[in-house]
Amino acid sequence: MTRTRLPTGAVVLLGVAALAVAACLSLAIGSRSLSPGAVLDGLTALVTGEASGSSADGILSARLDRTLIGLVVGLAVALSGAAMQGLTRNPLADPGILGVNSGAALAVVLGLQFAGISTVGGYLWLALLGGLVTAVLVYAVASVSQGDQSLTMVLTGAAVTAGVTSVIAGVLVSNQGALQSFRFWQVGSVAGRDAVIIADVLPLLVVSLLIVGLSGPVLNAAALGEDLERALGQRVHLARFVVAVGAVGLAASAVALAGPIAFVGLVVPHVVRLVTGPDYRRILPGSALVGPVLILLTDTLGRVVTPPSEIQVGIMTAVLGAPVLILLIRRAVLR
Amino acid sequence: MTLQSRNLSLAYGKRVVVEGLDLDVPEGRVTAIVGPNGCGKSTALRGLARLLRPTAGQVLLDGTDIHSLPTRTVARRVGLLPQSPIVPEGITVAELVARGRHPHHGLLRQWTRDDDRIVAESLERTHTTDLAGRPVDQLSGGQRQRVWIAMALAQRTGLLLLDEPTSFLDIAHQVEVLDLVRDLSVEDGTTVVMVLHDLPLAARYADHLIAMRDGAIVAEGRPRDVVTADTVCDVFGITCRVRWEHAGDVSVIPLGRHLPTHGQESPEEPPHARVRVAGRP
Repeated sequence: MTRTRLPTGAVVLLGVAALAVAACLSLAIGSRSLSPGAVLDGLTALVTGEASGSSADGILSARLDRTLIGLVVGLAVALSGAAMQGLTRNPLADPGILGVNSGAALAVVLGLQFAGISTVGGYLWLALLGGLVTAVLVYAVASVSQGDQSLTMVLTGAAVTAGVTSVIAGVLVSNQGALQSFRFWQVGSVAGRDAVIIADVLPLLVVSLLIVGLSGPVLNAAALGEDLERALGQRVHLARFVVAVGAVGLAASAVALAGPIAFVGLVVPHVVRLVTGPDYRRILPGSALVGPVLILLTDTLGRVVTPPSEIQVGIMTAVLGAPVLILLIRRAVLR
Repeated sequence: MTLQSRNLSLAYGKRVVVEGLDLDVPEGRVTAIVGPNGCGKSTALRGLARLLRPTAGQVLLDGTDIHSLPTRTVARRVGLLPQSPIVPEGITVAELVARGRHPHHGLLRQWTRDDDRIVAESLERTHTTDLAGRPVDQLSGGQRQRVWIAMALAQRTGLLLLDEPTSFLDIAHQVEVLDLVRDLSVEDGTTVVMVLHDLPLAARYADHLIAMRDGAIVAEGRPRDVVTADTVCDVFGITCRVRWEHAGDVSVIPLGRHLPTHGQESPEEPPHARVRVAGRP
């Protein structure tokens, strides 16, 4: 039985088309839905700077912020997940499951509470620091323990997440004022933020994006096991360290923008792999396109399932992602 | 291209596995390293492949310490097939073989038509062209080993290090893989060093045998000189009868507790105790 694969061009085209559809839905649908015509009019008005003054403009502008943030967050989280799965050769790796997201969130919340840091630019470095510390911790525990490393890593990540989440809850509860505005550090959300904050994370985002985006060949060699990786001329520790920093950088950028968002980094690379096969030079761009699609669609769905209130995107992705995680664990354990 | 070790010592943590190894790999020939489990033969090969950093001594590639060379340079000269490489889920034969081109690429040097040609040649050389589109995890053990060798060939090194390429294979697949190794040496002049478990097979397919025990070389040289009852006793600690026949075939007949001892020829030899291999040398 021969296997043929979709050409890379077709994969990218499909991804871009899906992304365009998801972005349009995210702009049009909500507590007050806009017709495609109204969305188009509003967008042209925003571009030309001639606001018509209608209420649709305000709605659209808020949704545009939300869509842009969702796009960046989806891209960062999915790429980060793909890189972590490649680096650890663990199909269950993802910034949420390995505890990197919650570690980053904890650092931000602590900075908020005790150092009074309240700008996204400030969050970012805290998130990066918290994410890196957690990543090193989880990786170290998994490396020194006996038995199945994949599972140890996931269990350590889960333990870290549980502990860290309760600390975050404790800090936020003791600070009632902060609780309302910073609830999203417990469960991620892309709503109610100005897209301008993207500018604050842009330097770290771009550098991490470059590192991870170019890491396809490194991850391809790593997939063959450490011996072959070295035999193929890769400087194993250096290459892995650089890519890991990129992956944590992406996760930290996403956390700084939207709080921890679960499962997207886990699920997206697996979906992409079904189409692209195991070549990371294709998995990475595929994930970069499908991640935002998943975030935008789940966020849009979260706006309409329980009117008039909304469900945060972090909860939506967890609800949808949990069954997929169970499926993957069953496959990993049964194999 | 020459590969040598000088006073090489290798250890895992504090456990010294190989000590003071002096070894010269004959160019363009097939060398087999044999010895009992845990004698350090695989560790020695890993040392030669610079997967382990020596605790003392050196591995010299063309006269230069292999650990002082850039890892990419080494990867263009020495290919390795480890004992249990990982097959990425769902990967096809052609995709796996293409990964052998890794050391020849960089940020600016991407895939070219030359790479396509080399992958096609590597497939052809290992008779795996027909398998190119098949997922590797669906192949037989022998096919799979040929595909891994194809990947090492795509690396375009004049030197191949194979760590137990025939373990877990039945006898037909073992012969299939070793025939290919022999072809590569005789027809292409590739230098091969492989670790083998099976003494008669090693004697039949190698030009040069290295017998190891307790991390050191006990005997080395032409198979006919190395495979003798005395050496086998020395290396494996068993008594056995060794028979060389005119075509260069060798039988190694282990004499356990339940078999007649030397000089007391029994009328019927138990059939299972006789190890012979007839392959294409």
